[in-house]
Amino acid sequence: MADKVLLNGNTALAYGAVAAGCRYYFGYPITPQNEISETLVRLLPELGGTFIQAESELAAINMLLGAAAAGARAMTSSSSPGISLMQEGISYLAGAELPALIVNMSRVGPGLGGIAASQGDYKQAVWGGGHGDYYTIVLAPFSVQELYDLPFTAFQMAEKYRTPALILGDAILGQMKEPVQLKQFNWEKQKTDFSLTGAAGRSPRLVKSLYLEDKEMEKHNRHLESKYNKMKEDTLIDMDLPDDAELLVVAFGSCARLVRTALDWA
Amino acid sequence: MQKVFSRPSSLKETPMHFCPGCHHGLVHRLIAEALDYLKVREKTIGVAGVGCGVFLYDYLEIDVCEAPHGRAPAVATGIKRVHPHSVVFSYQGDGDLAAIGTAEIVHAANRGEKITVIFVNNGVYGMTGGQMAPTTLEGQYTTTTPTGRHYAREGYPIRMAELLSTLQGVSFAARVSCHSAAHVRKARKVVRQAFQMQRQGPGLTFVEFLSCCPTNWKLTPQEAVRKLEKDYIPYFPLAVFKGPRDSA
Ligand SMILES: Cc1ncc(C[n+]2csc(CCOP(=O)(O)OP(=O)(O)O)c2C)c(N)n1
Ligand code: SF4
Repeated sequence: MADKVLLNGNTALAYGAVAAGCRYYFGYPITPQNEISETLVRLLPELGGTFIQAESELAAINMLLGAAAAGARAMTSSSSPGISLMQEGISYLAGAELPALIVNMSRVGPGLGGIAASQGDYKQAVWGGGHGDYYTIVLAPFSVQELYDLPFTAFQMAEKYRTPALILGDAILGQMKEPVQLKQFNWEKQKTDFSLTGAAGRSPRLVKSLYLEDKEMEKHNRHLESKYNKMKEDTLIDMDLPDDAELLVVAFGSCARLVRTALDWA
Repeated sequence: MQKVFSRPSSLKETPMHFCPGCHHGLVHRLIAEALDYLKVREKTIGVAGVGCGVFLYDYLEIDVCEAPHGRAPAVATGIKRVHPHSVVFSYQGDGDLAAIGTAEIVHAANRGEKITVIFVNNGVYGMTGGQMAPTTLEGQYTTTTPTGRHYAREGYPIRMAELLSTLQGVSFAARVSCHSAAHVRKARKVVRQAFQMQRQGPGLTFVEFLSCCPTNWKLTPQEAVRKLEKDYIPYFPLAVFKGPRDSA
């Protein structure tokens, strides 16, 4: 087994994304997640991938949409205010059924808020976030190792369900250092029978989320609903539940670490 | 007998939904002709902006991605970076490109993305019912300039082809029109040139079409053409602003 290396959470996430087969990254600078792009800008070109510092989070999420439509394993990352700007694009990804990874190393808000950790984006993350009826896959790491591991899980789920996946971390997780085992993942090339590649020897393909006919829209939304119900089967939870438990504490992210310690002491 | 004129194979045999006298349909046809001429239909991926041109996929026999309003150049960037050997273009109206999407077009152009941008400037927001666009002329009535556009209040119509031609990442920028047979012939060459230059690189290629929207100009198709000649062309001159000038 490979030795562990000491990494901060953001850097670990970048390595994890590359190990998961991600080759395209689009992002706009924002604290506290800059190490993600600063790591990927070095890793991706060597692997034949692409890194673009976009002119805004709006552009970044839409470059991601284009890359996802073209069949690539691609991601963006940001922190709370930037993720707010991306919501329209995330809604389009969900509506057009495109797999993609969006990472939110969240910070405190509302408004410009601050750069300290907070879990204030919880509702935005788990209730879809943008306009329309949709959910995204949301994975919440609680250690630097999980930040390395979860991009792989996120891409697998996103591609399985053809829908965007979000990793919801926070400022503490992104900045803190822990030993990480740089696992190799056995990723397969994703299925691309929906991807836009140019209609050579086949009929043209279309990536869209516009359904002007009443019945079409309803049909599409029913299809999305059944998909979202199915996604629940893949819920990941780390549960420690003694038979005689009287109190159940549910937590995620860096907060879950504090809860663990508190329960150990109790 | 030799066949000298037919429907381009990149154009589907579907009646178009555009209003009578609208130029969107002609622009679609000119794109289809260019893809046929360069034999790149099977390599082409179109990106449809939000506006009356959003149904690009109903009419062109190519792969198409819908983009959120204004973001087509960013979507096209993502696609082209994944498939660098494909031919990628965006199709956008003036609200889409010159208002909500100004940042995306300027930065895609400035990065020199190897895409072609087809920009349909009809001076109004067609799809939403005729509101003021960034390209609406002074004095022009729209639903949100009921007393006519005033420079002092609403600012000036933006000349996108000229503006983009100042950026180093742009290799070709032109403005054309298709309101007469002679103008269609010129525009055909320019659109071809833009797609051809995308293949050769480097840089973004940009074609602006002046286009009638008789419905929202509240004119007949014939009157709309006269307005385009009398009011639009003097403010928005037809020219190749950057790139080989013999293409027009
Ligand atoms: C974020 C967002 N804002 C507003 C709209 C509504 N909208 C749809 S089309 C359009 C303007 C279209 O005008 P233009 O780009 O000039 O194209 P045209 O219809 O004239 O060809 C607007 C504002 C939208 N779809 N999305
Ligand atoms: S509203 Fe204007 S731009 Fe839209 S189809 Fe009709 S004429 Fe064309």
